[in-house]
Amino acid sequence: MTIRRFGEHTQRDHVRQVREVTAFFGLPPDRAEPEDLRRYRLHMASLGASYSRMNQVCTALRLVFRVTLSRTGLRDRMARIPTPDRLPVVLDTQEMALLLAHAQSLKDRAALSIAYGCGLRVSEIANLKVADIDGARMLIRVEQDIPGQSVGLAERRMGAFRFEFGIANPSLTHLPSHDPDAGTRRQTRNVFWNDLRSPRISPEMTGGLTMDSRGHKRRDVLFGLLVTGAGLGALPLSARTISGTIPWTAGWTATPYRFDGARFFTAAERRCIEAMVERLIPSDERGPGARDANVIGFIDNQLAGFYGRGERWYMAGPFGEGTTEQGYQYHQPPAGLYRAGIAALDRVCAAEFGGRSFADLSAGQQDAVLARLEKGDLAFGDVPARAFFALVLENAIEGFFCDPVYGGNRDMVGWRLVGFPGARYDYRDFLNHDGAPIALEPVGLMGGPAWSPR
Amino acid sequence: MRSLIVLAGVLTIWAQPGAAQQNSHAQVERGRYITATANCQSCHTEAGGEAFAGGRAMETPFGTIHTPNITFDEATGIGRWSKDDFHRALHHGRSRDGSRLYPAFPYPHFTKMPRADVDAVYDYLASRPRVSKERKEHELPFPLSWRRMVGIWNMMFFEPGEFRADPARSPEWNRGAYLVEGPGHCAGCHTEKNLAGADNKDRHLMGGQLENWAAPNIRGGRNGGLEHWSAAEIVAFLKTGRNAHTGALTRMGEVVNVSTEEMTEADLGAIATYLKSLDSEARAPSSRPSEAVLKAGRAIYFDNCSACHVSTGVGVPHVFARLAGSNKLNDPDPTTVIRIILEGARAVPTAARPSPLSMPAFGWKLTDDQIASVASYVRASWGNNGAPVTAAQVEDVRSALTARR
Amino acid sequence: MKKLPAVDVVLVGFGWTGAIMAQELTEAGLQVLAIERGDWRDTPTHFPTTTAPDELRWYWRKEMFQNNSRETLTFRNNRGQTALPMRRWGSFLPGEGVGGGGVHWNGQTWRFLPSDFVAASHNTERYGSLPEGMTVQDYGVTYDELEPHFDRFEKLCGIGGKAGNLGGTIVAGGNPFEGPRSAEYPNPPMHMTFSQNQFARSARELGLNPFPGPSANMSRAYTNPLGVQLAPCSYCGFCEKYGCGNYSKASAQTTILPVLMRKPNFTLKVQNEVLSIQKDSTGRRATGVIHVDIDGNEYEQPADLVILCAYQLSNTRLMMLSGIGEIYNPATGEGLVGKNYCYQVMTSAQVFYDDKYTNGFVGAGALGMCVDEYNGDNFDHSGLGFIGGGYLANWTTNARPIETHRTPEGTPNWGSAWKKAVADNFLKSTSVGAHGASMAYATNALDLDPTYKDVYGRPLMRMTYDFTPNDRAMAAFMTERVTAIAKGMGGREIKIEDRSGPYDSMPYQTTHNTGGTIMGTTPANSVVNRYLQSWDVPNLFVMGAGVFPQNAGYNPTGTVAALAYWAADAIRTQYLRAPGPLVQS
Repeated sequence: MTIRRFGEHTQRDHVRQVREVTAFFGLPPDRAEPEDLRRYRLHMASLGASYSRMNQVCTALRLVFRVTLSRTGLRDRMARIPTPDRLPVVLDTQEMALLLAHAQSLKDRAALSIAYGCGLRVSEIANLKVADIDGARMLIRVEQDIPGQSVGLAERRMGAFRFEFGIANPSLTHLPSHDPDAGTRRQTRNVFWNDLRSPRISPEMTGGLTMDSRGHKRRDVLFGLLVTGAGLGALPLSARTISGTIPWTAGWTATPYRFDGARFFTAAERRCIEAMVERLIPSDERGPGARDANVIGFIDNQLAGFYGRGERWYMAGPFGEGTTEQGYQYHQPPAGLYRAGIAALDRVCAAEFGGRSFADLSAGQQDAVLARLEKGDLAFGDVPARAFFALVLENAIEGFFCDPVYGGNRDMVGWRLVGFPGARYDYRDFLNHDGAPIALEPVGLMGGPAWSPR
Repeated sequence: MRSLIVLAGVLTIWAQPGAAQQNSHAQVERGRYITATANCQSCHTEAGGEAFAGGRAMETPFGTIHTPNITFDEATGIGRWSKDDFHRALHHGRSRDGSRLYPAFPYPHFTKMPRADVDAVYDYLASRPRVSKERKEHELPFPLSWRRMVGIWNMMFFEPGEFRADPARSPEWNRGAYLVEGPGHCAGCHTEKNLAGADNKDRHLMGGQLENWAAPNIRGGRNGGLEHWSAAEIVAFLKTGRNAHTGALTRMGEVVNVSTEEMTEADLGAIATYLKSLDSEARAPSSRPSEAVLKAGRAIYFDNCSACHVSTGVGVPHVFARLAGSNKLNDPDPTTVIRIILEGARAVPTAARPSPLSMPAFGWKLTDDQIASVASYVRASWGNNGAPVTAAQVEDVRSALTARR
Repeated sequence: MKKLPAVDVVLVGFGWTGAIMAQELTEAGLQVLAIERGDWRDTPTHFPTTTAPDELRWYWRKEMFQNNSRETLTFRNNRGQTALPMRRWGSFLPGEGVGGGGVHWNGQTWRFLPSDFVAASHNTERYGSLPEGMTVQDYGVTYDELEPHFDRFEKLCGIGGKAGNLGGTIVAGGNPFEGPRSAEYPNPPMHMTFSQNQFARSARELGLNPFPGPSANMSRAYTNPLGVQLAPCSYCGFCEKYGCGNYSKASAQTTILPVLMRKPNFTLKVQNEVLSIQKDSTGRRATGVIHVDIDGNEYEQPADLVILCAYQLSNTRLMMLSGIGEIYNPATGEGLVGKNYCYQVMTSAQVFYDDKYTNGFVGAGALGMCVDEYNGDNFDHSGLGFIGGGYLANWTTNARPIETHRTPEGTPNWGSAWKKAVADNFLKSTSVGAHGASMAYATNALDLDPTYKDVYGRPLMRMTYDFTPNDRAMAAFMTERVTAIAKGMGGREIKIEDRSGPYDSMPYQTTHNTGGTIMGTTPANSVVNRYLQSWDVPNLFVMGAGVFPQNAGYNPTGTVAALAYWAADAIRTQYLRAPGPLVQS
């Protein structure tokens, strides 16, 4: 184990595991039979051992069987049990997004954003001043260790600043109520602990993982990150010079961002939009609609992410009303328009329908309200009613027909409705269809039921 | 001690400028070619490093060996070595100070090279820029770190002596045999090793494993891995990194880039002639995957793989590998298949075939079970004869690759 | 600011024209540096088959395109309005990153007609003087001069098609109206499907000559003259707006980079944006460029030759920001940079079937049948009130459902009726489109916005554009022709999508923006000469569709690339021997 560079703790754990197993078998491991292994694992499971505990045992025994005893047959009987997901060495952007989405205040989120996006240490974040942020150059000056040092600020982070502080004009970026007290450092650190323990991170959001198996490790990774300031700073920034070769890295792919469960809406907002999209794409005799496709989950999640914050949109002012041909001109990014539009819609409904919100209206009433909204024929005040309607409709259609990795089009109901075969890449076998139907089950980026042996 | 250093200095002075002056361009060029046939550069160069300056970490079952600097830098390279020293290293596996070299350095093959060729390699290396680069210590456990162990190994497995032609065979066959068994040291990867890390002579060129790759059977006669390749296709593969069946990937890609791509068609033809003469063992039919696995594997294949490899597994000649009859797929050891699905693979770009056509990684997209299903499917389809792959095997490769990163 | 070692050539932007220039000029032995503001991108890592078929990510979330949060442009229909920023892309989709828009193009690869290059003199001669306000002019280069360069690009890309005019001989099955070709296309046409067959039949019944659209999607495996390999197209239906995952669409990545990137005299810098072109004290010589990396570090890069290879909008803006030439003022007619901004005028008719499946998902970016009777001056325009025209085609590019869900006339935009119409027609519809020319008018132009700034604090480009009287008359004419073909395709009903109302910057139309750095015959009418060389600064060349004095009724890439080869040839054979103006003013 020393040769394999196992750490002291690992070595001790391994030895302990093997000792325990030997005691359970009642005979040395080199005389163990497959049935013994099965019995031991059942025993572990009956004790309620966690995934990670089970797999620790597996690893120790596999080493013994494979290396020490060269009994590869037995090793194969000790396959690691599949855990729902594996721990990443560093948090990827999606995971970070999940974490950020649950930061409890804007300030916390900003601090986390910077830690992740720029690789600053806790102490550096705690000592950051408004003047250190150069919105035009996308730079943060870090004077603490090396005077004059600066780090790049990815536009995503900048966008987060703008939106989360309710500021659309990038020239006005500033951190509200900066308090350079000694507690800031601890506070920043606590953000991580609190968020990870937050009951709002449900198993559904983490892909079925419980906090025990995942949160614990994640916290360690994060804590290490914050303490050492290691690693992540370079991620979004990759100015480089390439010469002599075509770069390629085995195993690396620019993978899609994924549905991560993060939410933007309040419960009331969610009800409103859920009702609205269900009228836009109803569940009816032709089959499933927006509700079945989880369009609301898709939209809620999109608004909590870079899309809702308008991070790839030009959101600098001044803002004018503009003509139809000039497109979206509201002074807030999509999430902001939703929030304002929902408030206006419920206000109008309350006034016209005796205090009832849009979601409480009958389907017929909702349709009538939406028809007026589409034409801009509702007293929405400063909120652009038609732009709001158009955006919700656009997002509803996206959520109904997108790849299921984004949370919408659940069970590919949208694709099944119209007959779209999904994320495929080869139709050469069907070029001579000559107007006849092609029978193909839809498949998503992450596959479909047919990919599992049944 | 001091006098020894002075002496060494004198010898160096004698050896180096002399070598530079005496060596004709033709001799250096001859050396360059022979060096290419011996693929020295591949192991003695670190990724992104200066050629021949060493530093590459070679993972062996026994530990990690860091290759030495073989430029003629005096302090860190072989600048103080004489031609005799150099020949002794290649022929007997001894370093300049007499200590034994680890057989990761393929002197059991280089011993077959005639003295004149070894001298030419020396002259070529002497003509190259000198790079100062210290070698890292090997990471070998005791007792392997004790070099005298190698002496015992040599007694058991090492047979010094130059290549002797077989008069019953054609000159071309003999040239091919010399290149394959001598400087080319193909067996280094393509022959299974015994417990001591020496070639298992009964399984010569029938496939081996190294650094989480399975190097396939390259015997070209009856039942051999290359039985279905013509001699011309073997030449095309070695010369261009591509033929109608497949392309050279990571490890073999390096060999193509620094070695076989540089070789003459005549020498490559000789290699092909020799390989085509080697028969192999007949393989019993493998067990079939279950119908459920085949069905899932077929679906995964159709949805993910057919865009390049075509729904019938025929691939696109010279572009995307043909899976029907593929040597890699039919290998009893599925490591390479699993690995390529997990992390993708890139066909080596060469002067003749500059496109680095690459398969993307599927490790993020497919589970171990799914990879096992599709690997089992392609190993059992279109006349292929590869045993089913289990999820545990996939998991093993995945873990090994993750640990490397 | 750090001053870097000088290079022979600096290329601003690294898409199609950047890659062509780099390949040609490194062959001439020059040390070439390309500076690209986006990131490195390649097939197996950035848009492989495993991630490419993803409508939301690449198109709707715009991951394939230039990042609007850093820079956009402002838009207004006319000078009476206040231009406002395009806060997200809509009508057109400029690319960003290595390969540029050439990563996400469809691959419809045309040659402009011989008469298109002499639009002003040809039309004046045939129909009398141009209408008031129309500022159409000749390119200054002819089809015959460009022919070898068209041919080179088609062979580079492995274009699949059928020649209609081989050296003056009309060949059946091809486009009889095209200029004389020196060679057949390097590859055969794409494999047509049901919709194309219906289009071809209807067109023949109308006495027209349908022919396969020229395609940069590979109809078979291909090795180009550089030795670079392309794979057969698999008709996946994720071509335009997407990167190709299996090497089957020509792009810088799949045709040039494997050879170019190996060269020791070529260097690429990514995530670096050029801020300005530097000039010496005379203002007549470019000394290099200033660029900034994504970390905010600024560099001065000296070079003997500066070549703008970015998108048309970016090239034009960089000229303006660098103070090269005078910015065009529509009020006075003074100035040339930003003049003759043109676009493309698209109209179409959709066809709906009852019992036939068009299966649009079996598609490719350039899978189509076309007719060219109504393009350029292929027909008599007497009394029609417009010049120019366009090709008509049935392309089956996709059935990506967020984007392409056709519904018959009278369908509401949402609700059960909408859903039913989408479900009923999704697999049973197709469309016939006209790809119309855009003639230059004095009123349509680009300049710098007085209010809005990019992330570096520089003014955004301002676009003032609306359809012109010529466009409207032409669109009405084309819509009739499109309708006639659509009606003959055997469907249950058709739906006409004409071009009425003002130009709308939001619905996607095409990314064929042209003009702004136009070419011509004298410094009085153009920014660059016939070799794409700046009249004002002779060691500055400008590539791209910005040099088109007006746009023709075809997709522009073929002509953009031919002009790049033509300019590269002039640099290699003339400029390097005697650096200076290649055309005396």
